[in-house]
Amino acid sequence: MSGLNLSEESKERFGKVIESSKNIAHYAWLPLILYLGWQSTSNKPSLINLLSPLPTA
Amino acid sequence: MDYTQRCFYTASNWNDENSYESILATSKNLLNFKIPDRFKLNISSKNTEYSYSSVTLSQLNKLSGSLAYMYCSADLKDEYQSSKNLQLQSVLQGYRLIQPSSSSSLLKTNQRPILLYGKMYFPSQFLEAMIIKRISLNSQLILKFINTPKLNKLQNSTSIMTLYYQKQNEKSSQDFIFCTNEALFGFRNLYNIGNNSNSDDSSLLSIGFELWYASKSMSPGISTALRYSTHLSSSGKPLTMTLAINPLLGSIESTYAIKTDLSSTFISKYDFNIYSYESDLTLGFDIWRYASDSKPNHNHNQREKVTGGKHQFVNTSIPLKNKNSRNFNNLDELEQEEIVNSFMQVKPNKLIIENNSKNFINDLNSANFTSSLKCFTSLKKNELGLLWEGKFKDWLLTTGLKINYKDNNSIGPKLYGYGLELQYSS
Repeated sequence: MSGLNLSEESKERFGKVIESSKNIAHYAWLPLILYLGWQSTSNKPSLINLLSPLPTA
Repeated sequence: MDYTQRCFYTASNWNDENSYESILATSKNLLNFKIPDRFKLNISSKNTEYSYSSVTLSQLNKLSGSLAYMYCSADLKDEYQSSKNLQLQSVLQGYRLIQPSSSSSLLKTNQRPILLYGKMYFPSQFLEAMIIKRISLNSQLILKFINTPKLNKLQNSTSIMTLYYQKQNEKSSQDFIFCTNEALFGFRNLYNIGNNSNSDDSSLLSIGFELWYASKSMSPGISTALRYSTHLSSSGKPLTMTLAINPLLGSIESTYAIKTDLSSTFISKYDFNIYSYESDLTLGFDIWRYASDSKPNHNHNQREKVTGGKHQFVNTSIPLKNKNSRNFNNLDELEQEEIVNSFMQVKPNKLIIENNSKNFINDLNSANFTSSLKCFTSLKKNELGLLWEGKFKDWLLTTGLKINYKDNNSIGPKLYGYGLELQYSS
């Protein structure tokens, strides 16, 4: 039965890993898009230019 | 962001008209348009060559907002326009001009562009994300997911992921869909009949169907539709007819839409249910207003239509053009026969129809509109919807309302909702 206990435990662990990776993906998604935009531009723009949706003068 | 997504499709030569999803687009745009129900402010900007951002604030009962970022590996500088220079007909959804996709337009690009999009809503921290990847010349992959975070112990996080694999060529298009919610499988198919890219005939008949199966609840879904679009032979005005049938729900829906002028469209839709015998007639129109200095000269257009036809007529008769200084009677028999044969192949009626429809489309694409008014009314539901969209300075304004003009519970007309949206992009 120890095998079953272990699988319960690993199930729980597995669930936790999934949950935390979901959280990471959730909050890292927008920074990833911003990073891709930044690294593909030749004249690396400042963070404010990249973040702000407001028109720049 | 919908606009930027359409720019991406244009830049990557993807024809999103050629899909079962958009087969009823004209009637949806003109009769089921979204009427704003709150005050909303949207500011978007192109931050770098490849990244875009947008912030939205909306006020209904409480203030809420969202922040969106997009990355696109293709430079959209030819397609993306700021709201100052924007042509209204490129951003407002109205009558869809259906043009057969040709193989040349699909084969132009050699790159495989990608688009990444993310939008986070506040204060709920709800995330909406999308990836579009062009995987080959005639196929693309779309992944959409939404996720709500676990903010406290009572709340469970929910995430739904939908995957689309889309394939298209000039004769047909297929979509394979899988959604994690209910383990839903979907398949859409569309065939274009009479679409011959070598001929300039603008008529197109499309037949399509969609199948759905939710494997968790074991519930199926099916619908089928037909669309015929053509141009009036006398004036080149486009018209579209559709017929959609859902055998499981028993609904039959037929629509007829015609662009009566460059600046107006009329549409009627008739719904009938074969199980309940309920029916409804919906009528709608849209009217566009020209900028004061740019009303097209119709006389000029008319002249162009006729001479355009003649011009092509002469061009196709090459032997005559090369030897027009000589008398026909002086030519030898073979040359005479060649000229007569080339004239036999020319169908003046067909040339005039094609030229009229091309001129109509060109006039429409170059027209400078400042606003559009849409209206629909449903005779059974006693509903009336109005939507005004237009440009004010460099801003794009949208306002509208929806009323029930014969509500049983109230004496006068009942107002369902109204709102105002302001949009600015740079």
